[in-house]
Amino acid sequence: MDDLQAIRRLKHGDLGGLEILMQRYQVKAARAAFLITYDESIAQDIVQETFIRIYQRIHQFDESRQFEPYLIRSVIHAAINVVRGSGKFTSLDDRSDDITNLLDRAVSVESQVESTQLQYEILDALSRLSPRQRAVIVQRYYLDMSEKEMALTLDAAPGTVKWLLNAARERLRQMLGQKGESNE
Amino acid sequence: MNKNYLDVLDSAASLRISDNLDLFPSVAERINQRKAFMQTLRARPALAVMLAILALLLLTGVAYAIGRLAGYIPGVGIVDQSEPLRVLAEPVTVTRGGITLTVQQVVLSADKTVLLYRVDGIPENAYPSDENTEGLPSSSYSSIITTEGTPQVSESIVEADSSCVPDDHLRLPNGSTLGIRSSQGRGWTTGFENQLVYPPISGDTNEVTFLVSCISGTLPEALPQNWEIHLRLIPASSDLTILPVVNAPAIAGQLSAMTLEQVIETDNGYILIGKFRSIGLPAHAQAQGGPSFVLITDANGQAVDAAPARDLEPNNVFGEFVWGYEIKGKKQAWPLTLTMDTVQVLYYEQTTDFQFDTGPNPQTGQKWILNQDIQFEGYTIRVVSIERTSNGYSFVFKADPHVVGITAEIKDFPPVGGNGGDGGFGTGDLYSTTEYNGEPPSGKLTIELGWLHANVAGPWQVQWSPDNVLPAP
Repeated sequence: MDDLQAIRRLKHGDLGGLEILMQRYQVKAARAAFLITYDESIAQDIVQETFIRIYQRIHQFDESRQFEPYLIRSVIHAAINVVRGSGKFTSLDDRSDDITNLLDRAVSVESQVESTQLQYEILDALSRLSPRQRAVIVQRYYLDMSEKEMALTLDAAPGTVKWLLNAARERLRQMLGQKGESNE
Repeated sequence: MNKNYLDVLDSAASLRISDNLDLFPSVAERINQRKAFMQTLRARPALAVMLAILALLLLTGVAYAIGRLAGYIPGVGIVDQSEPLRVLAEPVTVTRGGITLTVQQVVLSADKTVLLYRVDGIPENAYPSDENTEGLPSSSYSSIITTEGTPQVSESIVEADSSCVPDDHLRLPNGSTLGIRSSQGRGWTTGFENQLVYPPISGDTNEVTFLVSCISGTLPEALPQNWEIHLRLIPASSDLTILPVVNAPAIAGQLSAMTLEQVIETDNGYILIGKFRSIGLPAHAQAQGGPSFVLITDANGQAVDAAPARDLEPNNVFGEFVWGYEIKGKKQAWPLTLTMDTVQVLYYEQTTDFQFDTGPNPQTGQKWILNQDIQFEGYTIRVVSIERTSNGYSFVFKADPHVVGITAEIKDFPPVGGNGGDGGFGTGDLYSTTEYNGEPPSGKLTIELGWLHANVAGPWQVQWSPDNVLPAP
């Protein structure tokens, strides 16, 4: 059953349609929310709230739209809003590597132990960005969105997104103590 | 390279968000609670309130008396064992046109009848492919309240499109039929399974017929319709798994808003079931559920592995809700602390109003920017704008972030429809629409705000260990 069929089942009041959509996208949505909020329970709350709202408004869903981008956009919006108001913002300190170098290392590493360690380092490095900066990193590198898509999601002009992305990378470089080229 | 980055970030995030994440049970529970609540209100709000008060007064005696006789059947839920249980003699499968419908189990107890069935073999082309529900009315509901002690709601969804909507009945030998009291289910590509709860059936009824008018969500002519499945009922054998339901001992003193009511010990842990009642809330506020559910921590403050309990019938008593969690594992650092941070409340039957003048001949799409602050039940509601729509008006509000819902209607001009909600998550961005058949009213209008929903902060807590239940310190 594809997304459209699940959505139509949901429009008929059948929660089975919602379950199919959740099984398909809830993990990705929750991870995207987590990478922005850095709180598992908040991320899960966001995803639950998003799906409940989708259920409540499913009759207004435009079937010509793709469901996944609609969902992810809603989740990212919610995650940014939640963290923006929560004061969750850790202090900066020096780092020995930058996020893209960490990502490159993690891509190439073969040792499971080292790979896990790098994953923790990546989480730690990302946690030092602002929620909005994390959002653009997550959208660009985790959700593989184009800057145009990101602009739509963030309700921002493409130029603003480019600026945000550059600012995020610059901030990473500053706090990690490196001025090397980023690896976009 | 970005694809690899994706994998790495996904692996990193998986350290905190597991592949096995399953939020659906919790979401379904919340949707069912909200739906049941709204149905009850729409049907008989005054009667619901009266019954809620009666239920609250009688709660200690009645609930605990029932609890002593209650048992938990996995997949079925809590049943009253004051009368002998009966079950389906054997699963019944009927195949028509490639569609297989199997009634897997029926359990009849003194308080309800639970039927489990599944449907397989649904082809993709049986579902609508070119429908367009845009502009059509959404679901409507009808409800009944029985005289069996607590309000019970059955649902009849009427959709304005061509697909089948669930309408499964039980027909008794005397020709009368029973409608669904509550339901839950899950689906997959080619089928689905449902648990349907009906009112109890008297012990001398040994046969019933399960009536399925059509297969849910499919086109009316695509699949066989009007299924009639004959079911034979027999006394339950001693093999039927029934777990004891133990009433949590009441805490001495005043009844608290959050209480633990029942505990079920399973093979792998415990199921804790409790209630939240509208006690100690702001004036006029009636609890109706989440948004945050119960956080369970152990004696060391660590989160306990737990999931919302399935098979619980939603509570339809106005002003309170049931919560239930399944604790995974019996080796815990006792006692456990169960915490509810916030609850969502409705300020029942409270309204306020303001004046608004559309001027002569308002046009569709015309928008008025008001930015007018209204005080309502202690919250500040800013009426940001009003827009004339094709069949009514759309209102945009900016409110205290705790406010999650509000309606706007034109006094003395009852609308035929409308909807509302919040556009963000705790942002206070709200909207409400009101719709009319024919020309909407215009000129000098009184706008009445009502149905104020807000999150009220707790926390509310209770502590529990297998040996005791305590008020949280």
